[in-house]
Amino acid sequence: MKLSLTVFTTLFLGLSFFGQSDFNFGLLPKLVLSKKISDQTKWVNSIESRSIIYDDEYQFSHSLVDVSSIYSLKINTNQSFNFGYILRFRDSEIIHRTFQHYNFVNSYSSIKFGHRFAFEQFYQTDKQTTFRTRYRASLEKPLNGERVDVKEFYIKLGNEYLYDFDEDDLEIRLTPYLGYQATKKDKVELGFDYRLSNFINNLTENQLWFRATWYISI
Amino acid sequence: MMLKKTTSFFLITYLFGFNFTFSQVKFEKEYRLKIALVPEKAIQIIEKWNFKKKVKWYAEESQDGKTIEAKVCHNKHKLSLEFEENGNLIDIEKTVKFSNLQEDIQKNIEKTLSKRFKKFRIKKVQIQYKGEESAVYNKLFQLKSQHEEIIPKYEIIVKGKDEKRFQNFEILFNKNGEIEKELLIKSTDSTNLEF
Repeated sequence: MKLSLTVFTTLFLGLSFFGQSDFNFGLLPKLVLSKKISDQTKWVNSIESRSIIYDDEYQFSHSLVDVSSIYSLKINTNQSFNFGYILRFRDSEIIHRTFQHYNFVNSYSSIKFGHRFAFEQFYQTDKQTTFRTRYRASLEKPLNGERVDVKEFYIKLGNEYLYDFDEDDLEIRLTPYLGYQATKKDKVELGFDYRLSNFINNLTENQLWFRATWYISI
Repeated sequence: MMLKKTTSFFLITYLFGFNFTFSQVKFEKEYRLKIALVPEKAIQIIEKWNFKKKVKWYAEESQDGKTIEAKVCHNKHKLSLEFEENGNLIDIEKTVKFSNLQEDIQKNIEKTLSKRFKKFRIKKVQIQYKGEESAVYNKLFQLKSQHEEIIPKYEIIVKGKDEKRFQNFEILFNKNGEIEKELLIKSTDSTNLEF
């Protein structure tokens, strides 16, 4: 009795939580191509598209495409600075974005723990430049042994906090992925990207994306 | 014509050069091993040594062959016992703090490292015991031994600056703090944690 009451309450609260807020579901496939330039530098290019499957009702609509190019500079054995440019094609408009990342990755016996601090600038015609800052912590753990080898699976968990200065909004992202190291040069990750935003202003938005990322080094 | 010849010469050199560097890459794979697949002899050794904590088994494959590894925690130290494929004990490595080493050994190792690198930082220290199984056992459990004394070596992960940049190295020191073996650790790819 007690159990069914708990289940009922959880379900009811869960539904009402989504009921009062905006909920989207969609697909986010991404391709990341990286090319080593020297021992300390690499050039990373990516393309990502966004399709919406559910937004108030079921649908299938193409939302946007992001194309990015990043210059990555390794400053230590486990730290790097990345400088990048993203072009976002949404309907007929193009949003330009520049960003700077500082990364550091700590490796323990079987876990890799990565931190990313980012600062972003958005440029759009007839609009003022806006700024966003973000921090992401990610953890990678092999599912077999203490190291991810070729043809082995791993888990990657991410938690990111994004703050938009213009809209005064905090967004939180949770990203559980299952990864597979296919060859020495490429890996695939499948999983979810859950985004919670606008809860500060009581207009909670929930977004759930199914993500598929293919990392290739050439 | 001459230009064409030179071009093809460089192209061939480049291609062969590429193949050469490629073939230098050592294939290595490491994975958890079910106890049913562990050689009987290695299991017997572990059972005899009677560790209190759970033992985890791993296999490591490389071009040189396959080795079996048992990892266990003993007296707050991480131990790694390496076996041949037939179950013979190769060596034991015990993870310690650098400050746990004898003072003269610490000094000698630091002296060697400051000659070798402009700057360095010690990241991990393992004492390596190699020898006859019962002698290693006595050494590890600090028992009096009839066997020939085992002289430990020290396997240390060092982040060191050579010319311009820092790199990680795995360096094996003998009892006098001299370098016996040095291996450059290739940093793992973290693209998926950055982008």
